[in-house]
Amino acid sequence: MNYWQFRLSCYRHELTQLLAQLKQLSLGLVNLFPLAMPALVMMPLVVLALLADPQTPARQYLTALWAYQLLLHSWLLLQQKAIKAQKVSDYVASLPVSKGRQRMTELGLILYAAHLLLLAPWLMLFGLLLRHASHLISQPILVSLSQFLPIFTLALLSLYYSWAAVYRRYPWLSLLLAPLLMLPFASELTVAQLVGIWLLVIAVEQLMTFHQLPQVNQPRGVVQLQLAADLTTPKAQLLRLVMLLLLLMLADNFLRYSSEVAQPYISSFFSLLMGIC
Amino acid sequence: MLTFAHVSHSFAQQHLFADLNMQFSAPRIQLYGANGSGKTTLLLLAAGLLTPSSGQVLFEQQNVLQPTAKQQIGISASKIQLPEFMSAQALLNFHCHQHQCPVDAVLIDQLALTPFLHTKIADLSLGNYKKLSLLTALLHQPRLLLLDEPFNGLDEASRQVLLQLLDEYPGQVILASHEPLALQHAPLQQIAIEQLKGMAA
Repeated sequence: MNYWQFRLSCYRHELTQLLAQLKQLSLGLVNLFPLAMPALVMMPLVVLALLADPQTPARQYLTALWAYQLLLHSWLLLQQKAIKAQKVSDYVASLPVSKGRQRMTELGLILYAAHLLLLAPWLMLFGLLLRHASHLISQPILVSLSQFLPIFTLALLSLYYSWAAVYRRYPWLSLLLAPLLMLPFASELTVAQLVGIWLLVIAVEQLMTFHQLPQVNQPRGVVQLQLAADLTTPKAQLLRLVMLLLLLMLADNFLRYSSEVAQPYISSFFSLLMGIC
Repeated sequence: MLTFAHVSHSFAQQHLFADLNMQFSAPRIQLYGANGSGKTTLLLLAAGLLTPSSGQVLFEQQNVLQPTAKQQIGISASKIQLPEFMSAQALLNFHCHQHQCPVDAVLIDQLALTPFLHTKIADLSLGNYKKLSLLTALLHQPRLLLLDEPFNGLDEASRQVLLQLLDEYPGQVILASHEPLALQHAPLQQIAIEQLKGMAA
């Protein structure tokens, strides 16, 4: 067994345990929405076409891009411990393996873990570049850039958020707050402006220093006990928040394309779902 | 020789070591101190498994965080979890492949682990798990051997084997143990961990 095979075994073992925990939840989902499951699996791939199209309106592009990145980041965040072999991290650190080889192995595991979600945008970008190579050379560079900007942004952000899910603290500013604040104004902006703002927020996020929230000592009562638990294990709360945001985006799209008669019923349904979340 | 140069380390708000300057030159060193005083942390820092908040730890003038230094260091500590999904044999094979050393069947036999080589690590008893952990520290014959409570969970026969091994080991041995040690050949230097904490520059 070589180092890669060892790390892959660690990843698979950890993932098996994680999947066993998720089994009950997924069984619940299958029972609740039996017909929606294949659609859920295919949704990110359908969204890809929307994200690659330069004609997609800015607001629609923003919601689709945001949902895609949230999904990708959460998916990798769930597998972070498995990718880093956190349970046996001290043993792994004791091995005479260079940092470069460790990082390359973990990059391989990230690709293995995110596979389609991470690779599909890049494959699509290269496919489009090859297909339109002749146009790229003949037309002005600014026109080419504007045509490829949406898919290039998707590929770039997918790479960044995959890396961030494994190695960085939660990007709450660029992945949660900024897109939420951009949403009301998205219709008035162009895709290029949206992308510019998003990249700027990521740059600002890199420069920000974070201070740990103070721990709640000696909790009195249930609320304080829950607060203390949330502060010590913030990941569960963040995943819940991500679920809420994804629901919000789905509701936004549903309401936009449904008739006025159906809108109150759809709103009530999504309110119920968000309440459960 | 193991050297701590201006090493500081803290967990959360607790400072364990502040600007520690120390050279460990004796061939056998026993660290002792109360629970939570920092013995295991010192060993983990020495093995390059923890990065100090400031300063550096060197072994033979090499930073212990470097893979070349790790080749020369072996550590066994209960804090270091072994991959429980593998069999003992698979782990030893992998470990020796990484360190490019042979799997020493004699040593495994001396520690009476041979009958359990095909057992999954998760299913090993406390004593056999300890033996496997000791083997991962010993098999590549490191020049610096770091052992945290190495006698915990071992039966009498294995304790005697380990004692003899520590007595005759060609490299430097630093161990954290509450037990009094009786080594016949190698002189033993005893260091209280609290004494180290008072050695700030």
